[in-house]
Amino acid sequence: MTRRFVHRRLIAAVASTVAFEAAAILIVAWFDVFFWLLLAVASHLLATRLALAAARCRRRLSVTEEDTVLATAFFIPLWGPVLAFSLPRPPLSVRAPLRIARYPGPDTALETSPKDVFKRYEEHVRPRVPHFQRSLFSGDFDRDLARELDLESYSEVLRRGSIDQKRNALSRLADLSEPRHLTLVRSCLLDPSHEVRLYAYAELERVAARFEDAIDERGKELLKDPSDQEATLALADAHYHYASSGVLDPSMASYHFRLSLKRVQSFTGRKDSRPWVLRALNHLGLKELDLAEKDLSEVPSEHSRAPAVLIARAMLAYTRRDFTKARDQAEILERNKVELPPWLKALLLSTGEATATSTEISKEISLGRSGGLTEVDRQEAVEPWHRSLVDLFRARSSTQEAADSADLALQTFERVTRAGTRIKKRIRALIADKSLLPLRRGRR
Amino acid sequence: MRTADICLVLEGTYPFVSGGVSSWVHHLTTNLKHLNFTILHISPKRGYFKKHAYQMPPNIIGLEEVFLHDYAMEAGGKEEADAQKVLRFRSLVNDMLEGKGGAFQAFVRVLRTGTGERFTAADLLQTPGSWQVLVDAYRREAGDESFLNFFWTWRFSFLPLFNLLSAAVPPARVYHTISTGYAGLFAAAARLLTSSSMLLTEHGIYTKERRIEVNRAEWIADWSSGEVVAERKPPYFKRYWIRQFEMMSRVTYAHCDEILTLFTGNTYEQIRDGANPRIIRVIPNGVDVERYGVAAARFDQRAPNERFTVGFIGRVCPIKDVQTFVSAMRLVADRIPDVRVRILGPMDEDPEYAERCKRHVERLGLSGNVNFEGRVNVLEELPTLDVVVLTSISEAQPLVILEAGGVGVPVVATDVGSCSELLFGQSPEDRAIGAGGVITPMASPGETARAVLSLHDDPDARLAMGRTLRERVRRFYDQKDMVRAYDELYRKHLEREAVTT
Repeated sequence: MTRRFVHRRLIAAVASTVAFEAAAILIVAWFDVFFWLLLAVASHLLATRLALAAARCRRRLSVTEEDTVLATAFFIPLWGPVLAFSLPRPPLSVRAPLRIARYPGPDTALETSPKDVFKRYEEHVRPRVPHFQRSLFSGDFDRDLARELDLESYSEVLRRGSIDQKRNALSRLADLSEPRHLTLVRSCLLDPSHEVRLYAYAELERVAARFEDAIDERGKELLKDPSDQEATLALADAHYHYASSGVLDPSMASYHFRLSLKRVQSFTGRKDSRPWVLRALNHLGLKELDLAEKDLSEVPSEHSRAPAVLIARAMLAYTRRDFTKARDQAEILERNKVELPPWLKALLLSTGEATATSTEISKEISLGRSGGLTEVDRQEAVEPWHRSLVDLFRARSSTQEAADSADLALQTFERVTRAGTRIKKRIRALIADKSLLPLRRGRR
Repeated sequence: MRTADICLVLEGTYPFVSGGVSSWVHHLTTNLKHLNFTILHISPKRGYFKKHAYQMPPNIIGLEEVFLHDYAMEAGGKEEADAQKVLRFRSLVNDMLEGKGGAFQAFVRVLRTGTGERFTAADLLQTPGSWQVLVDAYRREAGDESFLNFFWTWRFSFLPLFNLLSAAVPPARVYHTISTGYAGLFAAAARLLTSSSMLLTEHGIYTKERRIEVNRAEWIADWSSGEVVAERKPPYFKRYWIRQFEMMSRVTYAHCDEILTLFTGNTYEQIRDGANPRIIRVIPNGVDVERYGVAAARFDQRAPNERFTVGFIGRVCPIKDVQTFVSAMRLVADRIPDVRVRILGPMDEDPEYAERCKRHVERLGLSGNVNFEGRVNVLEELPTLDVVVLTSISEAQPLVILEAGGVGVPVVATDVGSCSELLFGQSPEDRAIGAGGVITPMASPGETARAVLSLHDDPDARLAMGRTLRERVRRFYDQKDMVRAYDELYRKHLEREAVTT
């Protein structure tokens, strides 16, 4: 029965149909080829070829052989396209779409008159920087990122690097915009090379403009209603952030701390702890630690367990090098499930008790290494993780315990990074696979 | 056209833009009345510079302009394949970039020859062959970059060379360029075509300035800007432009008969960029000591200011870092609430920045202290100041220090260019005179304010510094010396040209 059904001519007809189908898919996919789709189509064609060969061969096949040919001819060709279409496509999220016209590429341009081609390009608006979603798996990533995370290495680059290296390091430090990074950038204003001094200046100016715009904006809001407490606090906040950013030289930083202090000095009867906290933080910035302590002690009792107050207390303790007290505050915060600032996370890690925090960091590391990161992913996942690590380095300089934890975190990071490299190598090997060559040749 | 003694080749400066270089050119041409000059001015495009900022003296007998980005493509273009021509062009450019000897001569020859070998812009940009060369070059050099960016970079880098080197060379006996770059390239071509002498006076170092500008530019596509890497090199297109400007400097230095600069610090950078140390000479800038002597007498005889007055003299533009000056004045005003701060200089060069500075004044609550007074007669205003402050982030030999010194006003200046040479002296004899002011690090309002306050607190020291600076300017920075040195230099090269002819 089976043998009758599996007639050679029937197999040939089915195989031809399937081959035609495969060719159609290939043509459709021609301009937007996805690797796995191609692979599926290739397996489709291969199976068809096998079926045809079997059907046309003169040798008498056994029942099992005939059934195998049938299964190959019917199921694999069906499986291929199904697999191809069911595979998820990579997300192509563009955070801020720019006005970049799609161009057909230099190859297709030769198909029309050269004059038209030139005209087309001449009419193009010059693109801004193309916002390509590039994976972090590029270049000598491991070494670069490891270097980047390590502030000590940054200082090394800024001390001994070439002018280009210094320029790149400065630009990266300014992008990260942590006070400690910006302090490093400021230190380059005294670099022996005038060129490096100018790059450092440009980066500081770029960051400063953001803070100044914020102050101007808040100032305008306050002008609308000078009695608006919220607007006054917002302006004081803007001055505080500018002062503590690391962009300003110490004298101007003090000036902005004082200005912020002046704005919040008159607040007393508020329902939250913001004015006291802001006063304390400004006093901290001015290194007036006793005054900061006094501010925090004056916080109304109903607000004394507010997260901002606890963080400010931890900061005060940290500045006084009283790490035990700082940790106590951090633990209360963690128990209340409050998101800790990175430096406080790092401090907690240094006790070896903050398993939750370290798991969180590891999770972020895994996320960061899991595949082609988009720009959004990078900012949302990598940078907090990066900041945490940076703070680990900061903590390392404070205590031996912290140093051990930082080393542990660094080892984890390196392990994950190596895993990332392995994945990268596998992907590259797949792409370079010789078995794909006929397809490539066909495309050309 | 009448043959001039000297053809000054200028790029984006005199007579259209006011500033240090323009003043220098104006003084030189005005004082060398017995020579006639012609000016070849290079602008980005037609109409970019509209008004003259200076009244040119009568011995400037001609003003020619070359526009780098005015492209006059031949109508119709050619259809025949001429990839060979484009390839030849490209290989010549590559040879120049690599600094191969004779490449520039060959380049100029094929651009200006009357035979069929001659290149035109259309050959390079509107033929099938040129397209193929462009695509091949893209694949070979910049396959990872955007083709669109490569296309535009190709165009913007080569078309100006066509416009520049195909332009008519004004007849002159000596070609004197005031920078390397496009002006230097034109002067080098003129030297090759006419065999006249070529001189170069660099105020700031053009290559360095362009390198900084390119590295900071946002208009040059920079694909790696979004990546988390600290690379060793700048991105491709930035490297491309930097190489282009370095090539221009190399060609200019190679064809110069003499290289002049304003202060010793510049010579190191020139040598590093390929200049022959044996032909480099330092001729410092100067001021008219006699004219400034009158103002100095006024300064000595004036009654003390009721309000301590600090002056900033210069264009309100980013390179002068006026914001740091204003910040410093905020700190000064904290100690001296009635301090008077005068910002004397044009505000039209970068109106956006000027606006930012005004906002900064308001933000810091200095509206009652700071006045933006625009362009003024410096000689009139200098005697009314107690201190002059210069917060520039980049300078060559700032004229404002010499002007303040001419009157006897002490200066607080950032440590850029030759500022410390001017305030503390260069040679042992010069240093023995003493300090004419205070040097501070750049972008440091705290340090600047401290220096100003120290001069306020010690009037005797302030006056002594002013006198020292006046003495230094009188002895080493007299404009007559500068004019005399250039007069001799021109005479030497004019005589040589006469002998050759």
